Amino acid sequence: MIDLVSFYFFIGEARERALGAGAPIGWFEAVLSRAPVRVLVIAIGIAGAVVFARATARLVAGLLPFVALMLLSSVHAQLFGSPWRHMYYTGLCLFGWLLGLMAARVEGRPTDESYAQVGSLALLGAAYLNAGISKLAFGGFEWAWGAPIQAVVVAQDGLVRDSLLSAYRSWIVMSPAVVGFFSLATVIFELAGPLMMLGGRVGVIVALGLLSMHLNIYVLTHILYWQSMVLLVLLGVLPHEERRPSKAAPLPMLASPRRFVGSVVTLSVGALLAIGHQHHRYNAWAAPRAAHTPPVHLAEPAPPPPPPQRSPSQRIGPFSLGDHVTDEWSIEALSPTDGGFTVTLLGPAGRARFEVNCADVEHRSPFDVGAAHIFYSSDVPFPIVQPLGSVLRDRVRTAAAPHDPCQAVNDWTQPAR
Amino acid sequence: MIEASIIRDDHLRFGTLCVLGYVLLSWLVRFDMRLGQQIASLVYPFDTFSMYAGMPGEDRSALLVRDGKGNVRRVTAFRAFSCAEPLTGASAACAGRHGIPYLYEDLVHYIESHAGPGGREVELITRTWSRASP
Repeated sequence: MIDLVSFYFFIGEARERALGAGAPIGWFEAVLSRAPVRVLVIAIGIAGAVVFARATARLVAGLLPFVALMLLSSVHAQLFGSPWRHMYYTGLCLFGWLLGLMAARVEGRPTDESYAQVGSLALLGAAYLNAGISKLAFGGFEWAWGAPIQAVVVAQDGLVRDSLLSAYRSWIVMSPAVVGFFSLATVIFELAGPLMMLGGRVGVIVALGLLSMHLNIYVLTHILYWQSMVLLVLLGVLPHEERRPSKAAPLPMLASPRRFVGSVVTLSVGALLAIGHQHHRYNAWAAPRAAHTPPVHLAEPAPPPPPPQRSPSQRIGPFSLGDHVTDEWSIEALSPTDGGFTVTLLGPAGRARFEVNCADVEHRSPFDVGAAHIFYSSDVPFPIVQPLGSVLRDRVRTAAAPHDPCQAVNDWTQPAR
Repeated sequence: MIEASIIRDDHLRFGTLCVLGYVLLSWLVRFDMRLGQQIASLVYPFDTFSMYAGMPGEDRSALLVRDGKGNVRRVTAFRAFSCAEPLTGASAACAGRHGIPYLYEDLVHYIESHAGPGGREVELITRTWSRASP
């Protein structure tokens, strides 16, 4: 329920930022992210959760919060630009619980929740197994040496000395042996996640290992996975009632060793092929990037060299000095740069500077025209920048058509260089 | 005793199939999203949980603030910014050192949404980490 309510705020914030940045929003996200609609979805989810919690084995009632979480998470991921994995654990444990209820019903024991408990713990363990597999598939065994953890701590924290924990973070980053130990333990405990199903001492050790990992991650990077920590305690650490034997016939797939082994082999082969395919895709994407990554050094960078000065231009492409782009804003300066040009606009709020280029960089702008970026500076607030950027985008698009925008940008800047 | 053991086996078998099914469906497809390549799986709650799984590439920098005395502080330690240079785009200083994309975007949003006059000259910097070659 906490996740359901949290999504109200998270989606609102993500929607506001996506709209502010002029990012394209599909109809699905546009409808579901509206406040009344998300209130309705959350209310249905909460109502289902209450009914689900007040009695045993309420399959349909349990489906309501699950579907609500699925819709809300999908909308949030689209608006934000990435899934929020810490919000996945409640959904996947609920999903496992519902799968267990379905299995018990097929067995003719509609009120039995023992399969539900196992299903929940199985999917929690599977999530950690996936995390461990990911590290080996995308980072290789080298991941366990510790470099990724060092890099994440630096990128998340910056090693700013402003608290008692700063010394611990710095020590970790500068201690290869310690960070190597943490990395190896992380991979081992994650791969062992499904062993929590065994219960007993082994299950508790794995759950406690994963809990320690989360605590350490929080201390090192401020990243808190509280949902999964709570679920690890509830499902993996705290004792549970012994499952009572039943006289009902078990599922054919579970009762017949041959069918069970066949299912395991089929699913395992499928999973290995899928992991191999994603490993190949990742390498195909990552290898060229790694080859072009410039060497970097452990130090605060020296002040950047001043950008090369070029003579301002009277005209570049569809832009001329003094042109009005709106009633109040006009072009004050045009300057060629490496691979593009800058447009400085002067208006009542001051100066707004835009840079048009086709650089191969990760960042995107809401004013991009195909591969041509139109980046903006933050000299004036975005609500003022937005209509100006839109005018510039339309001018570039119209003037470049029907040619490739980057080819056009290159042609426009040739005479100015 | 034997009966209880059989029941326990059935539960473990069910759990094993759940684990394998989840792993298979999570790895089947992975989609690109705005903040990264190949970062989303089929549908909630399936996921490969691959955040930070790759070896460090461009995600090893942190956006920080350095004041005139050389003290380095977090961006969020300041309340108002008036920037003389662009924060985004190819001409931005350290344009290729954005670190973790969502974190960088968050901090740039923080700076942009806290525009205002300030009393101190400071510098936005990226602190970058590299491994020594073996």
